[in-house]
Amino acid sequence: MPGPVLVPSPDKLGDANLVARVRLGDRYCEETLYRRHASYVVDLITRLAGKEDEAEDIAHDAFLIAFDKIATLRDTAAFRAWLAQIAVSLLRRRWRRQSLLRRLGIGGVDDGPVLASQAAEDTGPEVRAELAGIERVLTRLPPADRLAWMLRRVEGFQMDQVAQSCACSLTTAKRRVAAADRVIFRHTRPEEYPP
Amino acid sequence: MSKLVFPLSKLLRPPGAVPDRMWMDFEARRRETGVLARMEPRGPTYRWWTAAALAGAAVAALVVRWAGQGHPGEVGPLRLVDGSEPIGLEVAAGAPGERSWTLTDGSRLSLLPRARLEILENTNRSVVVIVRDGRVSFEVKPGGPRHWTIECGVVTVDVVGTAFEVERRVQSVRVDVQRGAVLVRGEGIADRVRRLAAGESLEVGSDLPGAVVEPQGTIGSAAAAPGAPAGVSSVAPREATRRPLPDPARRAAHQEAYRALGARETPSTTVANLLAVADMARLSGHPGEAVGPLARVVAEHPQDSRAALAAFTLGQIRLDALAQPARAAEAFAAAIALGVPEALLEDAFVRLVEARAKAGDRGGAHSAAEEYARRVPGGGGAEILRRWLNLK
Repeated sequence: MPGPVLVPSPDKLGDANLVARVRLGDRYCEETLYRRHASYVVDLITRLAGKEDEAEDIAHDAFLIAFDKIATLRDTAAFRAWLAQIAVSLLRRRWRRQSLLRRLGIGGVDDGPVLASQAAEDTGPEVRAELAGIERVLTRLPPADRLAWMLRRVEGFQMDQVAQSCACSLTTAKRRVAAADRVIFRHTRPEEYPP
Repeated sequence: MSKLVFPLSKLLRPPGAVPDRMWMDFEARRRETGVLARMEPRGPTYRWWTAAALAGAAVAALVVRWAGQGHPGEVGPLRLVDGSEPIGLEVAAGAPGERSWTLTDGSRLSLLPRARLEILENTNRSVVVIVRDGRVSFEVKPGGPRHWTIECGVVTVDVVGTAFEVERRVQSVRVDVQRGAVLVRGEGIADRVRRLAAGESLEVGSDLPGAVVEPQGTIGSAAAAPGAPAGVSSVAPREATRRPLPDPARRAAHQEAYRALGARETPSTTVANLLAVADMARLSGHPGEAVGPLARVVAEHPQDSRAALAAFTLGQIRLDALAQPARAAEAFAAAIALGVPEALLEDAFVRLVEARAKAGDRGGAHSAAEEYARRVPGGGGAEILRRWLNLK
């Protein structure tokens, strides 16, 4: 006769504990980590690249790498941030490939970033309009500046995380964010950033 | 005046729940990646972008552009080796035997007499094929850039690189996997999606639940058995062909047995083995992996006397270990409907009320409590039920 199952639910564990268990081969904790962070990564890539159909593909590649290299993660509580960096690196790799194909005349058109369509349900129309305006401005920025700005100003990455994700120095990352700030804030805060 | 707050993620919707389909896609991809790594030295497509590969790709792409003809299999639609682009393949009923076509990426389609397929989509990223009739064997080249989707009546098969067969019959569809893994989707399948690994088969009728069956020697031999009626019963596995569970299971060394078996592999379809796999998973601290085998017992063997107990255990796992009260309520209700033993009936009702209350289904919780009072008059669970029904 089956008895009650008394097991601590992994859903209640923090990422650090889950990572520790995954390192010991706990496949259920792997699934818990996946379910906890997969949607975030898909949404992140969709926001950065506007390609919802590819976002899941990139997210899965990122998880494959993360689970393969999980022993190397130093700050086990920062699994999400680490995973996001892997996903952004994969996205940059795809962008380099697509850029090469476009130069050879066989690549597709680059989709722009996505913000307005991901606004929270209770977001008012004025804020949605501002987000849509920022989307349009972002498409005119150089891709490197656009990526750095989105990671900093949209995703809230710390500057050292921005630099790591963009594979550049901290100084370069700051310069790119500042350059994008000038263009975007001139659009959203014209009183502070006159032409 | 701007109303934006930074970071802008504060204004965006939070990430949603991950659908089971996504997790199963990831699992299938992880297994295929492992299979590919063992089968061929060529790695996943993204690894193509090393510095040396970039240079080679640039040269190849230039040849494509200047020569003005399609690079075989790499860019644009797949073609047959004679250069033509296939839109449909068919072998007449009276043909002497199987016919095969090889595509420019090395993939291969083989049709038995009377088989017919059409290609609905054919791009450099995806191929969608519909099997209209008969049996078609697919050998999809692993490591390629295309995702293959096979539509076949009531099921859809998703595959990246593997060898499998699909047979469309009048009242059922059968999928047999020889190499790699595929995802089979369809309304007649439990949870509407099922992963099939090498050596596994699935037959889905238009009004029958899907059943995973053992390979019966050569592929298709069960379907060809003379006089066998169409449907699940014609391919019911025999005990003698079962792959025995590893010895440690018999010594209740659950952890070792779990590792030896490998996660997410259920070698057979008998109730005894499914329950043993579920016990291994549960008692080794992997309750989530017991869900699949237990659900299969309930879905595929409802007449078995152990199905009600499987449903009860499934409910316990979903409620206590996985915090899925709505799914747990379904399982407890199934346990009661399937005839859980009298000794467990009270527990089943109490947990059903608890699960429905936690899921926000107060009406359902009340109905369950009323039925409990009817079937277990003077039962000792009344106080517990009152507590759950007062839950806000």
